[in-house]
Order: sequence, then C-alpha cells, then structure tokens
Amino acid sequence: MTGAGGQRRATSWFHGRVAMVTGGGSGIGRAIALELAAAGAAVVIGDIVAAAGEETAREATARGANAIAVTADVAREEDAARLVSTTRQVFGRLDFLVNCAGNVSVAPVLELSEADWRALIAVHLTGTFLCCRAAFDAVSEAGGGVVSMSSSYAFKGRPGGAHYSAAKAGIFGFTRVLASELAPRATANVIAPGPIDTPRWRHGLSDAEYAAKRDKRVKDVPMGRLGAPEDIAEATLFLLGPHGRWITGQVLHVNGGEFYA
Amino acid sequence: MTGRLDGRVALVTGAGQGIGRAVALRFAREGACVAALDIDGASAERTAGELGGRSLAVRADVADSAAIDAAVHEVERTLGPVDVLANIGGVYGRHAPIREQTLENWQRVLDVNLTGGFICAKRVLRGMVDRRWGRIINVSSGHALGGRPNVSPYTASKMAVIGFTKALALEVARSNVTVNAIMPGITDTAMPRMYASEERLRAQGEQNPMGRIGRPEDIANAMAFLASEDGGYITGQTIAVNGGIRELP
Repeated sequence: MTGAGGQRRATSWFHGRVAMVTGGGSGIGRAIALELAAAGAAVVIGDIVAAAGEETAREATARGANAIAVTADVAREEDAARLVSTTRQVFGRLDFLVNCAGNVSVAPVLELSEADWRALIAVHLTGTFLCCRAAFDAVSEAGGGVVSMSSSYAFKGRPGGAHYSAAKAGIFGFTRVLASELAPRATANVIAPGPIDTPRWRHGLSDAEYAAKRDKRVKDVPMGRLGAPEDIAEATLFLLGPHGRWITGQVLHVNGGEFYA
Repeated sequence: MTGRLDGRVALVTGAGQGIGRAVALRFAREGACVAALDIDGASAERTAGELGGRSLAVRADVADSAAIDAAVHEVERTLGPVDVLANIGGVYGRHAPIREQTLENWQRVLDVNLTGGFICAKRVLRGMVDRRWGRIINVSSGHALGGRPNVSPYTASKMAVIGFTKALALEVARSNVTVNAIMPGITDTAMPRMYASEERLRAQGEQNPMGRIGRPEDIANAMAFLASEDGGYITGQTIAVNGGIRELP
C-alpha cells in the first residue's frame, strides 16, 4: 500500500535511514515494516517467530528495501540488546524504533493467573522499556523517533483484559518519560489503535464467526469499518516522518472515531 | 460525619506511613475495622496502635501473592471479610534516566505498584462479588501524566494502574463493586523527599493553584468518599487530588 505519501517520503526523509520494528512478523508490525520499506528506509524486523519475521523481511526486500529479520523475545534483556547491536552492525545506525511486539490472553481478574498477568506485562510493557533502553543512544544520535503501540483499551478499559489495559496504559506513561529524555534530539509517541483487522483479531474464527464479530464491533465505530493495519502504518510514518518533528510525548488515537479522547 | 464506613472491613496497604497511614486513620474514624498492612511490620504496628477499636497490623509484601493470601486470611479471621481495599503500598524506585535503569529496578517498581494491586484485588474480589458490595481504590500519581525525566518505571507503573482500574471496574460493575484510582499530586510525605529538597517542595507549594502541596489527609478525604455509600455510582474513574495543577488526559 504505497501511496503518493510514501513516494514523497522516500526522497525527502526515510531514504538512507534505518528502522527497527518489533513484532514485525505479522499484523500491525508487518504493515509498518513494509510501509517503512516502501518509503525508502532499511528495516530490521524483530519477531519471536522466526519464519514470520523472515517472511516480512523477504516482502520488504521484494519492495526494494534493505531488510533483515532478527528472532528475538523483547521481554529478555539480552534479546533486546541483540536487536539493536545487530541493527548497528548491519546498517551502521538506528533512526527509528517501533514497538509492536505483544502477546495476548483474555480472562477476568478473578480467573486471571498471576503467571498470565506477568507474561503479558513482560512482553508489552517491559519489552517496550528494554527495546527503548537498548535503542536510546542510537535513536538520539540519529535524531530519529520512537513509536510504541498502546491501545484504545488502555483508555477505555476492557473486561477480561485488566493486564492488557494496564500494560498498554503503562506504555503511554513510559513514553512520556522517554519523550522528556529524548528531547530535544528525538521524539517518542504512542498510537492507540482501535479495532484493527489483523490475523490475531481473526484467529480461530470461521468466516461466519469473523463476519459476526466484525459487524458487532463496527457498530461502535463511526467510520463504519474495522481499521486496517495500514491505517496504523500511515499514522506511524507520520509521527516518524518529516511532518511529525514537533510532536512528542503524545498519544494519537487511530480508531475510526470509536471514542473521543 | 463519623460512621460512613460503620461495619465495613478495610484493608489498607502501605499503611505504615504517609498516605496509607492517613487513609487507615481516616477509615477507622469513619467506623471501619482497619487492617493496616505494610512490608515494614513495625510501621504497620505503629499505625494499628493509633487506630484503636478493632484493627490489625499485618506485615506482607504486596508483590508476594502467597504472603498476601496468608495476610488476607488473617484479616478475614480477625476482622471479617474485606469490603474496602485501598491499594496504597508503593515504591518510587531508582531515580535515573532510561538508559541507566536496570531491569531489576524496573521489575521491582512494577511488581509493587502494579502487580501488587492486582494480587491484592484478586484476593479480596471474590468475596466482594459474592456479597455484592465492594470498593477497590488504587493510587496512581501525578507523575503518570507529568512525563518528567528519570522516573520511567514509576511513571509506567502509575499510568498502568489507571488502565488496570478501568478494565477491572467494567468487570465487576454489575456486582456492585466499584474500582477507582486517586491521582495525588505532590503530597507531604517521605516519598517526594526522595527526589526533592525542602526548598523545592516549598516552591512546588507556591506554584500550586491552591498555594500548597497536598497533605496525606487530602488524599484520605477523597478515599473515604469513594469507599463510602456516597461514592457508589462512581467507578472506573481517576480522580486527581492535587490542588488543580493539571488536567487529566
């Protein structure tokens, strides 16, 4: 989905720059990696699933970008450090970090095990911290930026997702501190996606079940459709791009009007 | 105005000092039987000693689910089932830029400030739901919005508390259990003195729209309201008690 915007960006800003996208093997992360590639950036795709990361890297390469995949669990500090050190070894710099890696489990607090609570917070929130810490100096030196995925559920809550809402809100709080520490050299923002039509969102559903879930969910969305991963990719490239240079510490709600913050 | 919590059993974590101590004292004055829990057993004893009436001191680390299970069991046995949980126990952590923060410090701050609240809430929630009455009050912080440098673990944990509060509130609303968060501004306790001088605290007070920093009793007032019958239709909210320094997002 390379639009006119992507082509304009390629010549003016992203060309020759390097982006790392965690969780880049599927869904939103994949769309962001491919959009960055189309805009001219070299991309490093981090994913815990090796085959998924490699597939995105192949697709990015096919679109003319330099791309590599690094298999990593962002919740492990040595993996986060390796993502960044590999990027610098291969490409010599790191301009942009996009934190998309996430896991999911659903249970009300009464039935939510401490292990599941901790596992989700470890990947989303601690993983974001570890990757930002590892990438801090490189992104600062490059005058680049960080975009991390929060969620509309961080702001409106979600039954069965107390750990998810906590982690995604925590990312917002963390990002405000990150922004204050990266300024004035680099920016840090979060995007809070509404319902996005990703493989995870469809996971385990028949076509009929998917259609029913979609139609029910879309009732809450004034724009009348689920978001596409590319909707989040476009917002990400805006925040990282030449027109987002004075935006930092903010949350951008990309949710089809699902709620007004 | 005594008696708004008559017959209620309240568990207050972090009750050994500061906001937790003030809340424990206020809840007791409102008629509640109060369990004062703190990781520092001696300070919990001191607070319980000031409470009089039916009260209890409990030593436990809120991030240790086995210890909390045992502590709540003792509260239930001694005072009765918990009606009000005030998740106040918290740590500030190491003041350092992100690039110098250790995973150990990050983890400890999240464990206490965020996971501790989950552990305590989960432990008392079943009883609240079964009895169709409960109040859970979490503590966020003005730092959650401030975005000041050097406090990344604390800020992340205190914003995460707001997300947790909203989600849990939706889960138990139909059971007549409310879940809210208080967002104190800078408050006159030991915690801000970990990073700010007396002079700085005075300056903060002068800059505050109300001309002073918060007192622990200001926070206790808001908590007593949320814990009482009067707060029964308020849930999922974050209430800033900060003299008007900053708006919520």
